[in-house]
Amino acid sequence: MNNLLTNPDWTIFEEENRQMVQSAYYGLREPFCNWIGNMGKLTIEEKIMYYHDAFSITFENAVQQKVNFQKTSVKTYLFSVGRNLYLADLRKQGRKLPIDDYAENLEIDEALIAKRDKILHMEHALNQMGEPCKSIILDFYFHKVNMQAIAAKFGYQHDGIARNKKYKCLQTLKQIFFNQQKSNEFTR
Amino acid sequence: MNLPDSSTWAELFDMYLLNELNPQQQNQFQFWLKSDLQFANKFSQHQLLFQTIQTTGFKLSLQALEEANPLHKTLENQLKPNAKVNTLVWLSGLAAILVIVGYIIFLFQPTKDVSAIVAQNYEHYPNVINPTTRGAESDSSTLNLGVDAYVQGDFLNAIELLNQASANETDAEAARLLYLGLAYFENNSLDKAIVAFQKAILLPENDYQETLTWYLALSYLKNEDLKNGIDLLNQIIEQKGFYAAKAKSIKSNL
Repeated sequence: MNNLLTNPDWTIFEEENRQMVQSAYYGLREPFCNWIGNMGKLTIEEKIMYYHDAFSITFENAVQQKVNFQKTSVKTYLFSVGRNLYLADLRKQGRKLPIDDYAENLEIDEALIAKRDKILHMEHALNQMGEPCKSIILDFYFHKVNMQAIAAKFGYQHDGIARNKKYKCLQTLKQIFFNQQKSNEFTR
Repeated sequence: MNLPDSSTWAELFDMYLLNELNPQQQNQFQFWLKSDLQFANKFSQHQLLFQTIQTTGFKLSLQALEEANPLHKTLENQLKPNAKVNTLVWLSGLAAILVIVGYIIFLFQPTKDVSAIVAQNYEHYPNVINPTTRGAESDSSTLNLGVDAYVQGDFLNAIELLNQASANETDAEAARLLYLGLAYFENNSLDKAIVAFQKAILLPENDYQETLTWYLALSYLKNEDLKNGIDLLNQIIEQKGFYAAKAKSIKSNL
């Protein structure tokens, strides 16, 4: 898992990587959900939501080499990201819990919260664009599918048309995403 | 070489980020980054978009993994090892139990003395701090003295010492807070016990999570916060750990 997360050129479509992500995902899921459940009453869906957010942020920080897994384990880092996200939500909701006096003094890493917002905005932006833009963008940037294969998949006559379509989709995505980011800055 | 037209920048950025430029082109690209502010700003925006799409794609792949094998199904399977139990038999059994329980309640109308139930299930916690943990701490003597005071039943002294002690390692800090919480519990300072246990639970990946959750549940119950107490008992039962049988027993008595 450490090797996987520290290699910026990885792709989830490589079988070995896919297996490593799967094994880490299922291996850490129950310990994480049990642990975060100990902090407060959460439904299974909420626990999973925190797990996905924490796992994604851990992945991004590892790829960007913002965390050194020689010094800390993936599990410890993942859990501490989860704790930050959960405490930030508690504060936002103004929930009164016995832990509040202590939790108020705990420093929350705002960069992690901003990262979660950014990922949520991207999810919304991709959904708002709809198909085929969502798949074209994810195929090209995440699954690293080349333009010829994208053209074939979506029935475009040649890769130039696919390239043009991808460009237009990206412009739309950029507009939606950065508008959301801007409005979030104002509401904070 | 002149900077290309801005309409082609997005493609150029992609090629750079996907390592599709040759070394000479990469040098040229880096030169433009340093020399043209507009080019650099647009690149930084594109890079943010690029990275966020990748992370979001990763998150979507996690959601697909979850859909393929949902946690609630895994938990259900753990709770029901024999999936072929006849539903009718199960329901009949449940109905019979409900009738019996209802009859017993009707006959005896028991009063719920939660404190007594908690007292029956509370056990003085032994000294489990291992030598490694002791040796790793610079002020281990204060921590050890505090734990010893708790074990010997000198709770006020334990509270004082354990509040003075500090620990750098996660497990040592969790142990300090566990014994501090226990000392408060025994001293009937339940609000403080709850805070100490909660603080310790917040420490990721410590060895005492299960124990802490158990004593936190007892503290809630003794503090007459039945809702939080029962929620935690349910979690303990769900996790099927060391305290699950005791949690079941308490729940059935409440």
